[in-house]
Amino acid sequence: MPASWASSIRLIWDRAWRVRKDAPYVTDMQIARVVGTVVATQKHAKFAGAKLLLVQPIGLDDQPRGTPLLAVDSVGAGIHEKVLVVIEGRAAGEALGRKAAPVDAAIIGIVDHVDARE
Amino acid sequence: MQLARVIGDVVVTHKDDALHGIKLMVLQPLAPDGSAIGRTLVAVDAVGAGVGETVFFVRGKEASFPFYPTEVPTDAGIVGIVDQVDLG
Repeated sequence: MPASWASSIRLIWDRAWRVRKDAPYVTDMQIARVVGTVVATQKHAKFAGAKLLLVQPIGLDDQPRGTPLLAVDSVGAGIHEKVLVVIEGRAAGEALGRKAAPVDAAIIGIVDHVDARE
Repeated sequence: MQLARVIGDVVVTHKDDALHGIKLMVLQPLAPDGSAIGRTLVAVDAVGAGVGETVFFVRGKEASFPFYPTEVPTDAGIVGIVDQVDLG
């Protein structure tokens, strides 16, 4: 199967997922603001030592966009910082460095600035 | 993941074999300030959460990972119990 077919199918799948009415948030990589920290003593073993942060996805105008979510932090982000978040299981698991970890979101970078023209 | 409050449980006698012995809880997703946000949902419990507790849950295929190698047919799972939320 040509690579272009594969990417087309992937695109259709991504679109279908994104327009699902009950999807709480889009699953693209996003820019978000760290709005809080969460302490949880009793958690699944794969979370041992992981830092959990509440993040609010934001638009290019810095305004909140969509539902706040909880992400594991792999870069040492702090509260009020602008960060890059992946909202997809495999990527989040890799950021945590553990296979088969039950995570679906991870902070993978701290944003210095965003340069967007139109 | 998202924060949620456990608001109930679900009793299901006839279910997929892989779901045997697994608790099903009703969750109300929460905003960081603790207010209800979005629709309630059913999630499997991987940490022993009780009704009234604040928890966090994972969505998607990853919700079945705590039960590995059993392939549990679920799309949401409680993976931690929240002690404290600090909004800076």
